Amino acid sequence: MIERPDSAVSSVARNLEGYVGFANLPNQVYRKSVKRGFEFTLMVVGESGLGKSTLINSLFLTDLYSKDYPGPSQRIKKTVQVEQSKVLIKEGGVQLTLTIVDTPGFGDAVDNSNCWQPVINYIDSKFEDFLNAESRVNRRQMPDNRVHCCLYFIAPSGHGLKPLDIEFMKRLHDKVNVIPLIAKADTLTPEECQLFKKQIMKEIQEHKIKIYEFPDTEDDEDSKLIRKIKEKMPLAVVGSNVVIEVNGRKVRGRQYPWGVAEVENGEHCDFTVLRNMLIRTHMQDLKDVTNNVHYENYRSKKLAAVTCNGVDATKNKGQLTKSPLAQMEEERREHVMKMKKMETEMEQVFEMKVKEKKQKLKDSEAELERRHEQMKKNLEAQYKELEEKRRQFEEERNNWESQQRILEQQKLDSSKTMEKNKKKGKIF
Amino acid sequence: MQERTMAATEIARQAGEGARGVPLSGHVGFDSMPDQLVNKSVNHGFCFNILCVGETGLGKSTLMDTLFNTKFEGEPTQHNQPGVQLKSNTYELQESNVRLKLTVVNTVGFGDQINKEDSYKSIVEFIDTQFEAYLQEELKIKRTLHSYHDTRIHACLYFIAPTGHSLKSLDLVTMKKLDSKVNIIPIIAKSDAISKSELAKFKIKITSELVSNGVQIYQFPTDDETVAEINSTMNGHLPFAVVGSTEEVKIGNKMVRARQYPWGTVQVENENHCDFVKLREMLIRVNMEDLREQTHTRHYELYRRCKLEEMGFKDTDPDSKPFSLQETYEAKRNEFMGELQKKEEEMRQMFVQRVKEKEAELKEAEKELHEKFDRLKKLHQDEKKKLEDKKKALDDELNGFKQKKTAAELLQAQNQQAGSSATLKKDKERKK
Repeated sequence: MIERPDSAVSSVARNLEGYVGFANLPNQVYRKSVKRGFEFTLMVVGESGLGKSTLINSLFLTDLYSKDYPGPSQRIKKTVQVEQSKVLIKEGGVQLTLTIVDTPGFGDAVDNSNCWQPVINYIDSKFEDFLNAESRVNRRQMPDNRVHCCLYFIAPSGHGLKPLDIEFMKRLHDKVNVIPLIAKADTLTPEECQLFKKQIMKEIQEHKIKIYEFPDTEDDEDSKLIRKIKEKMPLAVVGSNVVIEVNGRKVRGRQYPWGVAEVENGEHCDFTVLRNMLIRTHMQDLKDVTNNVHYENYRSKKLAAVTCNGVDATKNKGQLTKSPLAQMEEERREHVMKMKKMETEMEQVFEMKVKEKKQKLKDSEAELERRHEQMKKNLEAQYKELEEKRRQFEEERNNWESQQRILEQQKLDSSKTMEKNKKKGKIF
Repeated sequence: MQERTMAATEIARQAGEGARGVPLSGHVGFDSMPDQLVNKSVNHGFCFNILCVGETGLGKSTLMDTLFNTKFEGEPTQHNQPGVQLKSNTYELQESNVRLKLTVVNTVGFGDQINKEDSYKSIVEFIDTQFEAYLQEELKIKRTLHSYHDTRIHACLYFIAPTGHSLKSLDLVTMKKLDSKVNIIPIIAKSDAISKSELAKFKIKITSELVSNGVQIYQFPTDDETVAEINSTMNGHLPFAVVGSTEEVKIGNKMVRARQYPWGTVQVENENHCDFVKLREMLIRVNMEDLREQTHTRHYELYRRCKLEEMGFKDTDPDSKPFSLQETYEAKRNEFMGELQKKEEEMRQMFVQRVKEKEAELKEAEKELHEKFDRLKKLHQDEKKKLEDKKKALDDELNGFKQKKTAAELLQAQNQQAGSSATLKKDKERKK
């Protein structure tokens, strides 16, 4: 229906002689993006006391949760809530509107069935908001409040995933980028940590949970880094905003009688890896995957449900590649064809019946004509007969009359002769 | 992907409402976000689509070759085209690590016809077709916008003939039709035919004509401080007077692109000679991204809005409650089904009507036929009666005649007898 222009694409990239200048495009993009500012929504999920708020504060080097804005763990919650805090942070000329979504009460109850439901509802509602905004006729500012990443905190039991962990991740891996973290990793020795990680990854694979995957790059260096990160999954983190002096260096860490667990020390925990990955290298990718994969999933499911209302299921398969409007167009066309067919059929039946009737009429007309003709002929024959009879009669009469006249004449003559004779006395 | 991410965060609010600012106590690292974004888009590649509108022979193809420093395919067109056609060619260009998919669309035969009333139509149609394709993709249930090859026109270079006087009415009409659909950048073609003083007057005339006719041409954006100054200066130089050439001439010890005349050499890249450098600067080096953005957020949105409104979509129902997408689609669908059913009903009714009418017609005909034959029958009866009468008359005559005859014969016989008896008597007397 829509004809794309016929264009010849020269497949070999042309090398240009002389500088044209579109190599400056990336700078233009850079400039515009800085002007626009960035947004990111991060969700943290895990039982109370796993250090979620501390980790957020450590990641963003700020007191998101402070005395004035206490973190959710300070509050007593009965049921699972979903709460968001929005902050605006600036660095190096770049503005970031960061939304942290917390889930206080998660996993804290005795019966935790369906405690993931409020989380799912929240994510879906953000998708729905975006979908509605995107579908408006008058589209204006569309803030992106969709959840771009979900940090899932696993308690450092050292054994494996809890049923709740598995259940949650299974339910959410299709809706959001899930990054599992081992919380409070400073309670595990490196060996324990290794085993724990292996166990967790094994269970994740067994249950076919799709956690966030780093995209492949063509760059060799980047690939190496990525492989290294992948080996460390899930990342074991420690959070702290308290600055301690260690060997003359000021570091952030947790002071124990037996030493200081440094947050940013790669040998102590994977915090740096997480921060680098989450913020410095893959933030944009997290947003892109949310947009291109999770949101599109949601959208296509939502729209397929709408358009398949009342349409029989066997026809659905081929229709997902069309927009609902295009589908309606096609249905309209089908209907038009159907109507045309119906029309021609009815037309045919109509014509046939008319023909039949006309034929009948004609036949009866012919029959009547014929009879009429016959009667006419009959009449004519009778006329002729009559004529003939009359003629004969007239002939006969004329003959007789002329005969009579002759006789009369004879008689007259003879009587005349007799008279003559009488006069002559010739009477014997 | 590029477009989608842009659209999503595009008009994102810069200072989020309800967001409080918090200070950072160290380097977090999200200042790499623009770089992350840029890297992604470089990996993905860029695309740009230029439409060149102008009469045949104004040097459109040459200018494209000059702008992009390469020889694009194509033969010079003749003047005998029956209508305006659009030919588009896509090229993959690369400069350092930036890949650009460039599509150049040329209007073929523009301004060559005697009646040019419809010239702009094929151009508008072409632009709309590209919008429509994008809209269809955007509305699909399963869509792949991030890998969609965007063919929407990002910039329209309108070539003005270097008459030195004013715009032609064809130009005004065409630009007026295009200004709400595409970014128009008017340029004076083959401007080496105009002298400097004439050029200044020409530019002023053109600009004032555009203003007085309400034609909206593309303004280089002045909202970003880094480029505001240069953009606003350049805005004052519009329309750009350009000269294109792919031939090189030696000036001093360099080979430069130029056009050589007996009286001198016009150097394409000499800013004193023409505005080519300005055009290149503005179009490619500074504002290419803005042109793409404007196309997407302004021209495309306008098209989309009009199209959806045409199809009966609204944002809120009469009670000012916002529609959710589902409700809208469902409502649309029900309406649509209702319409279809109604059409079907109408057709059936029409047939029923026709059948009735035809039946009545045929019955009429039948009645007439019977009447006709009744008449004939009556005539026939009359004739028959006449015949009967005649027969009777004849019979009467016949009888009358018979009687007469019989009477006469009797008389004759009597006479004869009398005569013969008289003769006999006479004979008898004679014999005595």
